[in-house]
Amino acid sequence: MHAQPSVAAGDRMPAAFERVREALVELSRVWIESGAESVLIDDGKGCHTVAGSATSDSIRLEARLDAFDPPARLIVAGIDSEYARSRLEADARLLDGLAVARTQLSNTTAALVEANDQALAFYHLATGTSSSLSVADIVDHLAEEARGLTGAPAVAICVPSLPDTLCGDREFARVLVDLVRDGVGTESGMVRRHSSGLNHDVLIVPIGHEQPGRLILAGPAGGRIHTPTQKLAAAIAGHLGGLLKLARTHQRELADAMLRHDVEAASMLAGQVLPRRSPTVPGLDVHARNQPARLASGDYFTWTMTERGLIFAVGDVSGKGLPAALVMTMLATATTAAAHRDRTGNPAHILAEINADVYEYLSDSGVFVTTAVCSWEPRSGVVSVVNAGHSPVLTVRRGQVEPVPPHVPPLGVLPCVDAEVASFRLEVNDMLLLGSDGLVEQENADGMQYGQDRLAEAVVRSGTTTAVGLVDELFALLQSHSGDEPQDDDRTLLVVRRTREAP
Amino acid sequence: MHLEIQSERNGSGGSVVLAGRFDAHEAEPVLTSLTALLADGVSTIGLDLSRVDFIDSTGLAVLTRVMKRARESGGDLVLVAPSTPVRVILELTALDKAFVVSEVGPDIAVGH
Repeated sequence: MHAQPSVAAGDRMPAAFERVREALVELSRVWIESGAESVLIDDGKGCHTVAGSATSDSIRLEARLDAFDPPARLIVAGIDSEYARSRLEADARLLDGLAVARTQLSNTTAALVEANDQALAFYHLATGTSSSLSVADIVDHLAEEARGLTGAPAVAICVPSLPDTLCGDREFARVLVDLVRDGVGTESGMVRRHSSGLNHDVLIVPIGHEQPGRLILAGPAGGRIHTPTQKLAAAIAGHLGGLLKLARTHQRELADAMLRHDVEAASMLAGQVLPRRSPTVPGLDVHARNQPARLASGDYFTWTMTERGLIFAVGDVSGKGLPAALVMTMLATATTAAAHRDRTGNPAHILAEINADVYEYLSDSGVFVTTAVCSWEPRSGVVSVVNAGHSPVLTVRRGQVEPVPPHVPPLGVLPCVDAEVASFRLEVNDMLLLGSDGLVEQENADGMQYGQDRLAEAVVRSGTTTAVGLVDELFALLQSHSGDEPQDDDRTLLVVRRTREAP
Repeated sequence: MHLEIQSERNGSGGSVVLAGRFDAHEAEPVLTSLTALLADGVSTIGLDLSRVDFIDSTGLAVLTRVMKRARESGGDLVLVAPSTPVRVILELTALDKAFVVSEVGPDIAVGH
């Protein structure tokens, strides 16, 4: 008795041989039947028994299998003859040929599937180019498609907010629309020709789930609309529903993108009203930074050199984002203009001028603006501050931090402002800090605000000796306070430091 | 968090009680209910802020807007018993100098 050819479960056939498995098993069976002890394959990593079993000292015949990667060997054990050698060689060539053919077939199949997918995708692209076609074009296209595919004499598509689309016999299509409008007792489904009064079956198919649109088509005169046509019509209506949804989504996205673009451009333009370079003022080191919470900031800072000295200011428009930024540009401009016009060097006078300019505008806009306006007189080294509802405003003199409280409400609240002026002589290294509330009200993950005390402490502790250094340091400290919490509000800080330089 | 608005009219006066967080999200409904009273012929409104635990600049801007409109027609918007957080921000912005702030309840405040 010869051993039955089998592939042992534990001795898995290498993956490369799976494509010729049947042939290999079959020819192994024949080898065993002709007296061989076993048939093996060596795939370069080891021997696998295909059929039978052999002792290690059995005689072996081998033939190369070149169609496998890496090249393998077909081995027959326990048999040896001239005939066996040439037969083994022939079997090896057979397996090689089969392997090559199977590989080609599977490659071709994959290519075909891919080509078919592409053709399908191309079809969808060509038929439903919803991104470039208008909704009306899509409906037109699908109406033609429905007529062509179903052979209906007339097709109508009714979609809300679009004129009815009629195709085929247009007059007849209009009759179909009227039939549905007048209510033949059905919103969708089949109206048989005896009840349609037209000698035609009429099929009404809803379009999509969301749009209360209808695809209406007529059957042949005197004939019926059969089930395949109904299914086709349902498929077309479903497809149209999808395309309409896609087209509308796309149009909405386009509109959104345009709006986003406008908002970004407007925000950028609003931000450009802020000075980009620190002023060169003998005896003063000035630096400011604004960091919007959103795209655009409702905070502003500004400075102007006049014949009497430096006028500088920080302000904060109530609210946030682009609306606040638009008002901000107005205020920054009004402040600079009032500073230029001023001949007194008195910030209270400048503040009153600004309020007179913007009060009505602010009232109409329903917003107010907190601001601190300051002047620096080089000869005396005195800085004068008026504070209209703004905070924080801090003086740092001989290492002591003191707030400058507001004396009048913000701009836009009262028609006339008569502010008190706070004046200080700035000694070398003394500073004036004009911040915005976003600087002190920023919360951390525990809901704790950064606070004016922490800000004052950081200013006292700071080792930096330049305005820009202090601005950098305070912004970095604030950032580490907020951590991953989003920025609550616009942040602005203007630092003025008295230097050794003679004014 | 939400803001509750209770509005009532008594004679030529009106009283509105706010409770909760008064920020940008709540600006519109507060403005609507306050201006509705003014449009209805109420000249002076007492606005109870004793239970407002947060107000931002948009909220303050709404109060300012209503106050200005009320004064144009000879009335006023009286802020009644503001809570500590509201009081702090009114002082910080010096808006306490622009508004009439009263400690007595809205019913009494609207009487004069």
